Amino acid sequence: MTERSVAGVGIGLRRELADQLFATERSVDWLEIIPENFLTQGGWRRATLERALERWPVVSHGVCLSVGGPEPLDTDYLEKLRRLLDRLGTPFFSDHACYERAHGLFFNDLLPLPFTQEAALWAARRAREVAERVERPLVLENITYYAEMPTSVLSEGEFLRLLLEESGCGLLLDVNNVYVNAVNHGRAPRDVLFELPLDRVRQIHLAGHEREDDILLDNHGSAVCDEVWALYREVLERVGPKPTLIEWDTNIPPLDRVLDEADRARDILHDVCSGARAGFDPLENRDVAL
Amino acid sequence: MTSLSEFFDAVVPMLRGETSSAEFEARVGSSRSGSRRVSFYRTLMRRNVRLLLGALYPHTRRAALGESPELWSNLVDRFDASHPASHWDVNEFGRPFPDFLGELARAGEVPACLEELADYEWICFAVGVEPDENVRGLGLDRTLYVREYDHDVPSFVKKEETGLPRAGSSVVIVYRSPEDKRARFLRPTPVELCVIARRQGTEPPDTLSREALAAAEQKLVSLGVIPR
Repeated sequence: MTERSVAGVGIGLRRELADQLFATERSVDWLEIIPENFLTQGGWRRATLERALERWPVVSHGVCLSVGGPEPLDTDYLEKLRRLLDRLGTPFFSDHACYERAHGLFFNDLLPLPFTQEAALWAARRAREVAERVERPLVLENITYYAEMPTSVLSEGEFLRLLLEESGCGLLLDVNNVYVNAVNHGRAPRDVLFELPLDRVRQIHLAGHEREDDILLDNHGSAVCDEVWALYREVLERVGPKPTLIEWDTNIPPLDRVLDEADRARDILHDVCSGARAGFDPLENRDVAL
Repeated sequence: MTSLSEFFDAVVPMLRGETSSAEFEARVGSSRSGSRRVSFYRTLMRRNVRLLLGALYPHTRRAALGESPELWSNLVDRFDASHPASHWDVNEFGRPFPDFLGELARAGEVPACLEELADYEWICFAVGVEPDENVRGLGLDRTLYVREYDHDVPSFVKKEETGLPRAGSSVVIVYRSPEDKRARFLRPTPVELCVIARRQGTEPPDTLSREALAAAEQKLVSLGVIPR
């Protein structure tokens, strides 16, 4: 079996953009899918995925794992996910450091856990089990949280560091989430960023947000803001080249607008990282035999 | 000290809107972000349900909003209360929505056409994403549906008509196009329905000519409604 490595800048494989994507000659280094759209669905969805796989590496970014939730892991879901990941052939998969299910209900949102040692260790134990069942490294994303949950005693950074170190998981660093959380909780974005376990960053997300009253909402519905671009540059300076995704999932514009954002990310990636390591090409994609 | 399990016991009813954020905080302690921010999660939950159902049933939503500005929100809230999501596949959450509307229609609470509209939207979705490995023979009720509606729902959807779907009996076939695997609809002739019935083992009436049946079959095959 051959795994396809992921490098450079990718975008999400979204229904609204698929036809334009297959027609474009502009640079797209890799694609990201929401696996839940493909675990039980075939037809045009599966055909779209197969067509994408002919041309790009495709990584899986789940939204339903509920790694911190109170209920037993859904083994049927994990088995379906494992089979899909086998087909994708990418070296890791990701989901979020949160919960989505509790007490038999599914909330269709990424809900924050209390930042406690108990919650971090609970989620870490489950994350290890997930990675074992799915037979690949799991990477967890820092989510946006609009309220710190009661009983929290750790900072977000301390919580994530404990969770990731105990589980062995990588960090999918969503830089927009860092910015949104910092603003929403009255902190300096750089302080929030550098508290996170950046040594574990495996992938990066960039996205837009919107303001609703006194809250910034992480809605993936606009261009990346200048502050987030600046943070992205600082992250790359700290962690080196990491595969970066432009997330644009609502108010989706024509593909060229999304690719403009990807080009900007790629320029920064080149600018920051090309000179940092001799002979390194941050956009290189290689086939790596397992 | 509040345990994680106590946290979940308290947060779930708050997220469902069964208790307030103040009651939640009284059970597990205050949030440093304040009660208003905690209660924002209930707002997000309601918003998510609207988005999900609206994405699965955009034309039913359009018709309901046309009937009255509050109808769609009321329907979503009642559906969520009686059919809370329990599966990771969000489409499973939306699957019972046509039947839910049917119950309300029979009780005279919503126009009957909404059930038909939602049913049509659901089967169009289902036809497009049914895994190939599940399809046998004609793929009836998987990639090929035959429906008789009392309203012209395909025209309402295709032409983005305003108001509600027009009354009028219509037989509709929804099938998967072999070209792009997406759903298409067809208003079949009686002879074409006989062709489908014959493929299921029912002999057509003697009054139909072999030529008419052959022509109808050729058309259905060429469209991809039935296999060669």
